[in-house]
Amino acid sequence: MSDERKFSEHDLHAYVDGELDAETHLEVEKWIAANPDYRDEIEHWKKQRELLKAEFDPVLGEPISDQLVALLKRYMNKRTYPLWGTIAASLLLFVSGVIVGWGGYHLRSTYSTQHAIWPDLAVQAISAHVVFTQDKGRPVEIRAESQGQNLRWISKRFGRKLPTPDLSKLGWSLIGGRVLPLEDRAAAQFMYQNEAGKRLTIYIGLGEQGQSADYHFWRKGDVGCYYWFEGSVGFAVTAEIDKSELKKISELVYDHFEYL
Amino acid sequence: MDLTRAIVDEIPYLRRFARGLTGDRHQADDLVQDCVERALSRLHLYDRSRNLRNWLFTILRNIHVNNLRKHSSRGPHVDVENVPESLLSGDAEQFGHVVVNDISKALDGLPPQQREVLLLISLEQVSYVEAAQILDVPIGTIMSRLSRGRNRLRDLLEVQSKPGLRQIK
Repeated sequence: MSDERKFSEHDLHAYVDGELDAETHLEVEKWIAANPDYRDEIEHWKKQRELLKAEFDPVLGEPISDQLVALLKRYMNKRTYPLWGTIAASLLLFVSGVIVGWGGYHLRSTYSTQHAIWPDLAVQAISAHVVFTQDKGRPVEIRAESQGQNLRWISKRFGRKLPTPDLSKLGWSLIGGRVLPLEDRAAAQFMYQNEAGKRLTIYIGLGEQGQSADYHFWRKGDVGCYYWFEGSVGFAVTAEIDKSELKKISELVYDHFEYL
Repeated sequence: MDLTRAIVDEIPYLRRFARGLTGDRHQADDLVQDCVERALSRLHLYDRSRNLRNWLFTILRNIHVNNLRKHSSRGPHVDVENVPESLLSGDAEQFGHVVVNDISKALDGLPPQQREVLLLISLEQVSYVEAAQILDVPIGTIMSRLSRGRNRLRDLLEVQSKPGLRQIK
């Protein structure tokens, strides 16, 4: 047995997983040679890896479900250019003859009708953005007392918890929010401001249950809007900023609300 | 390269990861289905500087966690990080001498947070840094979950426990 431990258990795991630099890797290797008890431990970790590989690697070659094939087919049909050929080539190993004949076949796209109950979300979000961000006196109904604060009253009116996302790492701080009508329901608008005084709004509206999520970008004049749907809730992030910056913010907002 | 095409190429890996997470073919299929659907509808949110497979793993894993949450009919949730170490990496005796040889069954004996780390590192062979990114936890958490997961899996797999070898201080 070694008289003095030089490496932590974490080091040993890192050794097994190839996470160490070459020099340390060699040192650990030598140390293990002198400590057979730990060698057993390490061998077992490697064995676990082999068992996992043996159990799950065959999944890589299994045929994919008809359902997934149908999804890809549906998705391809939404695109403006034909991709199906490349998809078929990729899946040739996995998919049986059912795909034969799909190449030139295009289903009627359901894309445009998928969110028919939401024609107004982006329009409403942009209107609300334009109207209220220009209001110098009272841009928000409820002022956030501190950044990231949960505006409980709005949540209550909206009918579900709406913790506001923290966008400070992208340079935006929360000013506050308001409740607005969207058809016969309540919608919520949260407003943020950056150091340059630009304003950004997150608009959240409730729709009917069971709508699938999808992503869209809409621009009206200089105002850009990313909007998407999560179950019965629609989200829109609107600002007069660069599209790529807006995309980054939308991503944060999306992550924040995804599992509300 | 076209992103849609690239996602299709990742499907086999998504399916392997999903099977490891769920242990069930149908659940895994549903999970991959939801993941691909979500990814395809959010292509413009994909940051091209990020590894595509890891982005997809993140989506898949988040849907899985959400499913577990939705379908959980267990008692109050206790964060595994707050459970005393002794309970998590406990002896095989804790499982009433039911020692299993089947890796799939053994995986079922792991808490979900250890299971996902173990699968990412040992099966999918992502780096610790990538695992931390996918699971959105610090790298130290990855390492401690990996360590607990491997020790526990050993207990579950071994016919004869060897006291003294398992614990490395």
